[in-house]
Amino acid sequence: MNDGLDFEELTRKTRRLDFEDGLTDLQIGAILLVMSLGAAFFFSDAGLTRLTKALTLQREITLVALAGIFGCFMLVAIGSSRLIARVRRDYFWKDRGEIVPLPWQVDTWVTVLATAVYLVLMIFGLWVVLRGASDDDALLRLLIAVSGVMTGIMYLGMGLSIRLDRYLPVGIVGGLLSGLLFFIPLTFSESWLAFGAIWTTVLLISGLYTLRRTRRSMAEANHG
Amino acid sequence: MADFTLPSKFDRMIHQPARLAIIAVLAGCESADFTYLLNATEINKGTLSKNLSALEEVAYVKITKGYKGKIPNTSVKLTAKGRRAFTKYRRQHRRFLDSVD
Repeated sequence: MNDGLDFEELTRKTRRLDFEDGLTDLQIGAILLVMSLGAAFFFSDAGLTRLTKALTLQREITLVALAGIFGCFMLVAIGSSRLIARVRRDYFWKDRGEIVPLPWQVDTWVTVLATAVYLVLMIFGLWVVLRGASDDDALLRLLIAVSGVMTGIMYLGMGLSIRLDRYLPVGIVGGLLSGLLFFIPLTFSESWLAFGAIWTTVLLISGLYTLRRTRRSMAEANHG
Repeated sequence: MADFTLPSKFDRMIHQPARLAIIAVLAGCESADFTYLLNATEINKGTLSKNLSALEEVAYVKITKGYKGKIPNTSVKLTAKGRRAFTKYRRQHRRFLDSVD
């Protein structure tokens, strides 16, 4: 047998590399913030009024503008990935060599579990709404709350499968706070803002803490 | 009789320690460069090169030689065949360990 070689840990260690410096957390936090701010605006009364008016008066220009906004969002997402790769190549991974991370880091069992929980919570939420035990926006809020819980489960599962301890509190705190959104009487637009605030804050704390720790250990290694 | 896969039935191409370390590292990423593989596996350059060639011969890995700026760079990627073989190996290994326990 391969005595002493923990090959499973070698795989996990390589997978963890994408999260070791905290840059991925900051990137995802920023993307979720922009996405939720955009959604909060479009689904607010003012946003919906303006959008409807614009679509009625200048349909083509509005559609082009919307496509442009989406394009800019994608450019920022792709651009930030390239920037992260560059920072890692020149700074964090300078002497250790580099990898291209897996495009999807979440294990199949985690995705299946998160999807199952999503469906169960959706059914429960629908049951609550249909019983009339909630307000008008509850159905729309349910979508956001359950998506947040699903995101939390994914972080939790990823933390367990690649043994990345900081993703356990990230998943639990983000997931639970997102779930609570269903029970708070917010409008759909406000729910988007709250969703963005929760996940951006959680990921920002996780990312900045990790980035600081990584820089400190690099500085210590350089001086030691 | 206990139902387990004997080590002799393991994929020999993967079961050898140096190659197992290489494949295990590559399974955790889309691709890795030669320097990363050297550091992560703690194998010396000669052994790493030799085993990468062996893995390339059976199409378990794909090696791409190029340049990053002016510096030569060798990038290694686990192929779909290699990933399947490693998944099978992990399953057999786990079953074997379970049957021994």
